[in-house]
Amino acid sequence: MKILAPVINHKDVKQLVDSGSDEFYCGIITKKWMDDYSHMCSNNRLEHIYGNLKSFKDLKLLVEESHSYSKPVFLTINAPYYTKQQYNTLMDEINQSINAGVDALIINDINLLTELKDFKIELHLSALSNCFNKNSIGFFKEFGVKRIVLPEHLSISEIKVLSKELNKNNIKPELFILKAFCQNIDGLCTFHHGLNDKKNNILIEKLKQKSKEVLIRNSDNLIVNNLIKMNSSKMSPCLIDYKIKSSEKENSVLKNNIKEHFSSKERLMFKCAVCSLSELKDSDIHSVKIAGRSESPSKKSKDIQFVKESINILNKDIEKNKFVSETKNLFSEIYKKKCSKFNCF
Amino acid sequence: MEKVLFVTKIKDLEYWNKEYTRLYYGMEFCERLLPSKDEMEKVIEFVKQNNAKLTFVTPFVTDKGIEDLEGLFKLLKIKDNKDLEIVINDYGTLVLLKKLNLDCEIILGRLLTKQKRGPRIMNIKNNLPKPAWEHFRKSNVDVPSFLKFLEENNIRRVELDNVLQGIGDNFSNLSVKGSLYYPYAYITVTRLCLLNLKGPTPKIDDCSKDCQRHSFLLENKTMPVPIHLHGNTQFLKNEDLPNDLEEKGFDRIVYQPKAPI
Repeated sequence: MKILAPVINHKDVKQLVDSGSDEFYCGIITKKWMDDYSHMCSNNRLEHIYGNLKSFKDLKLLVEESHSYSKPVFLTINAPYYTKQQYNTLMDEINQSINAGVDALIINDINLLTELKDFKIELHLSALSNCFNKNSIGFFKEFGVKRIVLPEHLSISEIKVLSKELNKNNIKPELFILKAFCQNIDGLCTFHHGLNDKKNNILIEKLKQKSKEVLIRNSDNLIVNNLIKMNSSKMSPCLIDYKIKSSEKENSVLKNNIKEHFSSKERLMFKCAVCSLSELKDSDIHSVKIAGRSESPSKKSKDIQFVKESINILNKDIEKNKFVSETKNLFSEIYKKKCSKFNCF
Repeated sequence: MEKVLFVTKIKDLEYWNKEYTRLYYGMEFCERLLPSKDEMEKVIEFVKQNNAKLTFVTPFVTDKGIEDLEGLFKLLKIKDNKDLEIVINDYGTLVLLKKLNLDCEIILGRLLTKQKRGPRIMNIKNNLPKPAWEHFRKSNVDVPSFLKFLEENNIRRVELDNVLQGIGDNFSNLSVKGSLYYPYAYITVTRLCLLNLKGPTPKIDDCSKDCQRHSFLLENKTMPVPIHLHGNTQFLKNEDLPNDLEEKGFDRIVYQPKAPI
């Protein structure tokens, strides 16, 4: 089972390889894309500038460094969709990425899959494509995808069935193993994740003070990056402390549950599915993916190390309870805190 | 402009009147809420009695949902509905329909026709670069490769939501027709249903169907409009219809008297 880890800087590659990463993925938002569309309209799912590379020069350096360790690099081009006006820039940037040496593209948009079908580059289907059933595997196979990242909202039994079907079709199954919290189905969520409200957001206020043009377009400077990071927890529309009103018959239990759910700090914890690996051991999962392109290199390293050592424990062929107990100890050891029930997904 | 009624429950057939020529019936967001065969038969009978046409709306589905849909599609096949339409919201359903060779028009549902719907875009509309704003007012429908894909799959209609930022799509010169859903636009959906919270984290398994009894309004000063939480889905309500829909080639309005859960 391979570990696919995020990376945004060639200087981090050695550290992440040493921690146990087998493969890397990254995204890129160029200045041209930013000028036209801003990070709000990112060409990949991450609607923040700080988790993305900024130039093809950076991408080439990253690819060269990764290849020097024989580690492939996959590029995410998985925005929810692209409009006709974006296609010239998009295809130009895809060609430049291929020239930079990326080994595969992670694609979501059905149009883009069609466009790239005959390109000489491996295609992976993003989790955003919602491959929830066996029929969909057959559907996406027609586009020549070599790997499918299964959506996160699947039960273990559903994953087992889909993984078997994928392997039968010579498509590699991939799963998210560590990720940021997301209540909603990523591929069906149409909220904007790039910023918070302009009236109440320090970022926007500061940006407004700085320039009439609003630095949404120019947010790759350090101050703005820091501001974005400071407010990252408030960026998500899934974590708003809503006032809840019952539309019909009052049900205080449900109302309180929902209120607590939206405002609970525990929900900010990153999510982990490592314990589930014991149940998926015989399912021929090709790779497990770690989310967190925006995380620091040291956090990325810890995540990779945790997953790598968990896989090593799994390979010792021990019983499920023992595996869970050992991985929980490992979690405490690596992250210097106990794992919580809120961490599970 | 054709006006059609969309309901998800038998009891909501009371909203039917002669203004409508077609009934949309079914479920987009949760396979657990697909109609039973009995309910489907009642709706088929209702449509025949009212000399109307039927559009069966289907959700995104797991293998269990595919199995349930197969039974319902076979029932529709036996009942020989004229002018039957099926709205798909999962490409697995497209594969199933081809396998069953059901005599129907296939429509691309709003989970597959992509739009950004988050209300907070309205807070920054003046701050975005013009091409970004234009992007958010449009879907992916006019991309040539997508039109080719639709044509190859005999899909001649696509469904869009009445989003707050307005509709930039223009179907006038396209090979597909457009429908607009109104007044509820879906924003997001989950399988970890918030109306099924029994512990620290929501679960996919088991369901008490509380969504059929309770719904909630979520309000926050950063949201330009309240969020309507119905079961596993969050909607916005936008009652302002664009006045140039016909000029833009839309020929059908799908009216939802209630949020479709």
